[in-house]
Amino acid sequence: MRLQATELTGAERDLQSDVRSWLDERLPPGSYLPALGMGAPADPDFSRDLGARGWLGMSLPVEYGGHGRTAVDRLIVVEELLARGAPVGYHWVADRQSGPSIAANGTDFQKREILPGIASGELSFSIGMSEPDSGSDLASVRTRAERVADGWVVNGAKIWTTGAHHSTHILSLFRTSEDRHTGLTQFIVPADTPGLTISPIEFIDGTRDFCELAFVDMFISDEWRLGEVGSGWGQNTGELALERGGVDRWMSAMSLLETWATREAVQASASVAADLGSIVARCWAFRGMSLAVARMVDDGQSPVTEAALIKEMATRFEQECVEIVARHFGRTPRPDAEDPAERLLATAVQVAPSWTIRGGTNEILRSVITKGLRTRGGEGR
Amino acid sequence: MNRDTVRADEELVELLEDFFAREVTPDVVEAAERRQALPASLWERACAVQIPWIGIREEDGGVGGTIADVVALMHHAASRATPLPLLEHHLAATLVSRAGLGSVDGLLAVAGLSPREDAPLVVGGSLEGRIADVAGAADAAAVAVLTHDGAGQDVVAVVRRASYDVEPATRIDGTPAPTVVLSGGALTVNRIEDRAAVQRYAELLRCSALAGLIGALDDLTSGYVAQRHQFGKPVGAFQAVQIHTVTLAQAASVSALVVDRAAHAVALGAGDFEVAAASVVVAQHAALAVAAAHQAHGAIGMTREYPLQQLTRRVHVLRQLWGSSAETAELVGRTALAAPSLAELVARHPEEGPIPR
Repeated sequence: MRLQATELTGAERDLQSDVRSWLDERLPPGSYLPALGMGAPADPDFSRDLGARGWLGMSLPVEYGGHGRTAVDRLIVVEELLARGAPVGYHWVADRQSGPSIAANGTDFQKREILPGIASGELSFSIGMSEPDSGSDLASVRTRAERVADGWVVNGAKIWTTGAHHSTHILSLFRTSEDRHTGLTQFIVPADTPGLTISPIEFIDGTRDFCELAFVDMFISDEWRLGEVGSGWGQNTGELALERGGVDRWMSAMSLLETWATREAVQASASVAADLGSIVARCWAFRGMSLAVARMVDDGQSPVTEAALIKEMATRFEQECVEIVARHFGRTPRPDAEDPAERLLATAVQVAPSWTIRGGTNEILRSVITKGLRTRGGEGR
Repeated sequence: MNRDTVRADEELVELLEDFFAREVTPDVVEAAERRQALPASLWERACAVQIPWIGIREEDGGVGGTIADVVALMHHAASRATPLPLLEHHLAATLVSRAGLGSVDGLLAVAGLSPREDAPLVVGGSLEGRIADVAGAADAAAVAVLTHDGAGQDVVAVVRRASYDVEPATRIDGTPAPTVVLSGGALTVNRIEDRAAVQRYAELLRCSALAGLIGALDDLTSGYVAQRHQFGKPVGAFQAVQIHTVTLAQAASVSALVVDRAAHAVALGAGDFEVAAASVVVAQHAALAVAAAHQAHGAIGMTREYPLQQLTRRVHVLRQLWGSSAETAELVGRTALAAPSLAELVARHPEEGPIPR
């Protein structure tokens, strides 16, 4: 698989510089606690400010409040946000995948109702895919939507849904018939729908962003069905491509690395500098890969295999970053330390295993990659 | 400004692919190693289509071409384990050309490219001493030595074949790389500007050859696991084997990409950071690729009769040809420490020039 090397154009570098200047003012160091990439906390005010600046829902159509920009433009904005460990949690899922998916598959009503709110940062989405008995085997989901007059009645449970407690909407995958793949349909579920209960599940580091959702005779009007009945699996696969190839898959440890790189120990030791060099060189490489994939999206291609290939290696790299920083830290970092950088490392050590699991485990990704490469039969080498 | 980086000429790439696929079969590689000599007929056929002179200025006896063209040449030559020192020859011809020494006919060898080892000094118009590991030296018309003169200036010295002896030595991939014993004879010397740029260019081309080898490991292994059956199905159908084939696809993909980006930076007259970073990335993935390719092949990959070893042994040679990847990683680390932030360094455009310190 040959990725086409590409660099930013002059206009794109202007955008990069605008984003940097704005963030310098909006998020000066010390005004917030840098987070671990997309696992950042929700800050609705920050998301609204970003939306007002035109940097959310960038690729969404202008007539629905979007900005008609490119995937590369979005990469530029996201890269700057993640580099600073910005509080992106509120808008993250909506901006990355729910918005584009609704723009591609939604009705005019849905686009009018939802997309302007995504672009302004008012709406927050989470992903209702996994179930207690359906993790990697997503096609086995059992939460059922039964047809009734004017809509559907939903019963079942979703689990491991990050951020559902602050979401305004859950983009959910429900079973509408027995056919394994064609019996699945997506719905845009407003989080305040009667019959839906959202409860936090305590995460490994004690945070409560992880949630489970219980659907008990939840009625949802047919106008919230996303796409055709039975087309949920295909739409879901398209959404995963948006979810997998981006800079967020190698930048989780970025704020940790920035702090580490300023420490005296790194400055003084040749072997530590070599570790840092090995990390930075790979960051540069992954950034080139993400950029190449974003160009492919802008050229109308669907780089599903490429995105999976990058995510599988980039998330292992993120974990290695944490391992290297932790090793050089010299003792076990404490979660209640006074130094925020030590607290962040304590969090990273605990949560890093989730990076090769969320958005498709590496084991599933390897199958996706293998099938993708086989189908192409070596084309493009 | 064009968003895409410079690409090699398409017709040239086609010619290179065809030539190396047709002329450099595993049997040709094997025979060259057994004979322990330059395969003269292969060299002549390469000369017939001007391959050794791609990227050398026409006024210096070359056929011209861009950096991307030369990068493509090294990639495709390496991907077939070509038993000719095309990388060394090209760099020697480049040195001769850059030093304003015109051109030298025939195969050239090169020395002095390692930043760690000092080549013998040019003193009083002559060069004496020994230089180890000079691929092609026995059959070359001359060796181009990058070194210093008595005043500490960077110079290129061209030593004709009559002015040196060779003591046989062989690299791990079976390539003859004798020690050159200089006898103080006739020499052509001239100063050369920007030694660092030459070393950066050499490093870029070395990385391109490695990327070519990694791509070939990926191709050979994906073919093998599809055709080899165990437990009643192709071994590539097993998840345990897919770990290796995915590793290879990743290594091939990232290596080719970083080389292309670094080549673009060099073509813009920059590339210090990009070439060093590419070098670190390619070295790491070369090691991963060798391990994955051997593991996926099993026992047959350990035999001389199967061509995997022609590729993996060449990876071992190229990985540390002129220096250690640990030192390059340290250099990248020091660059990163001097940069405003890691993220800015990673996202910088090569046109932004040197890293601010």
